Amino acid sequence: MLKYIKQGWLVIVLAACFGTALAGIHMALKDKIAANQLDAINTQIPLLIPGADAAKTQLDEPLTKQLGMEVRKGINSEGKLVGWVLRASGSGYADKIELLIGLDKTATKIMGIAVIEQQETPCLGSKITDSSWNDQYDDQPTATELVVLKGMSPEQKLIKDGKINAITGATISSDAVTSIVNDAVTKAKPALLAELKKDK
Amino acid sequence: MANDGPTPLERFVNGVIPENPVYRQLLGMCPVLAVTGSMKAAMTMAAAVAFVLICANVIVSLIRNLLQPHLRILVFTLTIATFVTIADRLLKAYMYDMSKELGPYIPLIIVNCLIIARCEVCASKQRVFTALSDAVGQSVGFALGLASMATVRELLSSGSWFGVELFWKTGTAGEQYRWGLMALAPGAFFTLGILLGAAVWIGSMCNKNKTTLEA
Amino acid sequence: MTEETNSKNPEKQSSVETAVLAVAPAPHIRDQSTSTRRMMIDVIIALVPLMIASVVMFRGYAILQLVVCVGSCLIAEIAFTAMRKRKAPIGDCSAIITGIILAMSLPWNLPIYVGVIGSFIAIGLGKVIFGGLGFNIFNPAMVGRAFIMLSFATAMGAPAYVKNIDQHMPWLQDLGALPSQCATGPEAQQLTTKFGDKFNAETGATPMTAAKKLINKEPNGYSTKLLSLFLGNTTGSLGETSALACLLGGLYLLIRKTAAWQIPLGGVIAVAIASGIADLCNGPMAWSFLHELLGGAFLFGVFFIATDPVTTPTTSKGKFIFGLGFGLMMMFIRLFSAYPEGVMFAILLMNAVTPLINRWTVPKPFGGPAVVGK
Repeated sequence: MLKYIKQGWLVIVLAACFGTALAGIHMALKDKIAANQLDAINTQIPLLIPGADAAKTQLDEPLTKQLGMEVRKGINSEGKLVGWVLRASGSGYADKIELLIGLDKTATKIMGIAVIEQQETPCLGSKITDSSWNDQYDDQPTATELVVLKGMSPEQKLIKDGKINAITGATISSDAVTSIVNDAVTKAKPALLAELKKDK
Repeated sequence: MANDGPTPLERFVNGVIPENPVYRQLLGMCPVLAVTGSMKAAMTMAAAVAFVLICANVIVSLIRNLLQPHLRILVFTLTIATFVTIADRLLKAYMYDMSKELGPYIPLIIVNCLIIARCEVCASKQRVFTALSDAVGQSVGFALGLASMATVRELLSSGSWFGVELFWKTGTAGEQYRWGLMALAPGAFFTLGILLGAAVWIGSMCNKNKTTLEA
Repeated sequence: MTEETNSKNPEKQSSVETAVLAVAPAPHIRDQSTSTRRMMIDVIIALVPLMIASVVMFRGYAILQLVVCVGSCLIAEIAFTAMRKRKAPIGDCSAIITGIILAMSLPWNLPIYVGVIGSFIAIGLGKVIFGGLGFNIFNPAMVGRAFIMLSFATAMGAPAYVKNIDQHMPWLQDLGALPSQCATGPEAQQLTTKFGDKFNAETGATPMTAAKKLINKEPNGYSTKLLSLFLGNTTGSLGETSALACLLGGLYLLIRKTAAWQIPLGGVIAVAIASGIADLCNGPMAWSFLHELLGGAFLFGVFFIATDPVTTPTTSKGKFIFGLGFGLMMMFIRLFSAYPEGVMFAILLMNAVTPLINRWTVPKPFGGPAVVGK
């Protein structure tokens, strides 16, 4: 026993020192990191739901638990409900894709989506983060599931009839985003409507 | 032995070009291939590696006389892992977007062979100042290697440098000139191969000149 | 092997003549008609109708692309062989053919430097790196094209083929190459009323993309007239548009025995079977078996690229299997993948399995023991 301690004391001392240092660093930075993560979502909320106040838009605990995905109530500065923000994820071409989906108050329209986590192929699949592409989801109806088409014309893209134009060369990524949106909306819509009735 | 070795200044100079980590020692190839798609990511990576390398070299050099030969690798890894974790936390706190873009490659600095090689070759045998100058030299060399790769790849794949669009604007007709493959893994291998070939060629030319001068 | 000994050892040949009793390795009978140079010149002659057809259709753009590709292939050959400290085998004309085939497989409006990169990859990565002509695994021109296709998706993708085409080529209307002029079937009328005489992203790029839309039942898909596909007044890669030119050149190659007839035969049979099955599954459609044969780069590929003696099997049975596999792979890609055309990838895939086919089809010596490869 003594032999081992004699040989290994440096390792033990170093481990203790480093451990303490790391704990200190973690304590000092943990709030900042958590704030960063929250911030990444909060900056998106006013963009997704016009009029919503990021500070008042808090996680809705019961609904989150019930649906198994993060649900936020979009509250405007006067304290009124203006929409919903869902956080949904699913598998993309390379890795998990995480989205924020903004819905209007009655969950009949998608207000917008934002990609907060993705590792898709650079220059191809990563175009799902471009607003020029994901603006297509704005104002799409939730009555039917969205479908992905290839080679739509600019005029067709302007008509909000549930059709999404695929990114050239990244059909799988486009499909993945669309199916995440479809799944999340179908799953959340009844619960959101029930919640809305309760509020009234 | 220690007296015959290169002086601290020589060690610094050696690290930059003559023993460049990327082009001469071929160490740390994982970040060289993975994060050189854009200049910003490459330079953040270079800074993180420099931080870890300098700190690890200094610590290892300070405790070099206490090291047990058969436990030294364990101590190196412990030291490196600590500083990598610190670097990772710092990035997450102050450069959140960049840390998301670099993803797993910051934690992977732990297995970057450049750092463990410098600990083993230099820091565990030299005085603190020598180890420090060696680490700084190697870090500058590594940053140069990453910068050269990232410059070529970013210019060709998105026509920009440090995110500044030089040749064409995103979404305009100029986009047809982008060499998309350069942003992907094959592009990284091609660039590394060509730059490596060029580096070896230039190196051999320099050697030839030297020998002819001496003769 | 014949080519090797022939082109490499002119000195040895003369020493054979002077020696009284000389023992030289086989082959002992050397016929000028089987030399590399003669075969390659044959291929160039066979490519002439294609070049004429593409110059008629695309005029200056075809000439420019030909000059760029052939020129940079030759420069690449000289540069890369110099790197290996060898003499550049320009005389065997193989680099010229690689250049022509590469140029003929590109869209008309490809930026010049993309063609240059393609040529350098074709010669460097496709050929010289393996040790030069005769040792390459893949067809060099297709290696170059695959590289630039994956590198410059925007410049090489289907939409690039018709981008601003009617502004740059006002003569298309006189040739009858506008979509409204060469479309057929019930969709054609719709197309004309909808878009008039204009090319745009919706009218589909080439006959192949239009057919792809038709098969997938997407909007604006249409079938192209067989006559247009045959004569070549449609859009597409420079050399692929005219089936007539491909047939003329291909027949010349077959008659001269420069190309093996088994490969085109296998290809045609495979396309017939595959498109027959597709027709049965999809129901009758305006895009038929003949369209699959004449449209796109099938004839160009099957006569000029798939018959490359270096990268195809050596036995006749093997050649037939190669042709069959090529046709099936191409139809598979055309019908099921996102690409409208599959000639390039089908050839590269079949090149990869060529050593395997060679092993399968080792001929059994008459009365001899069982073949080791089996």
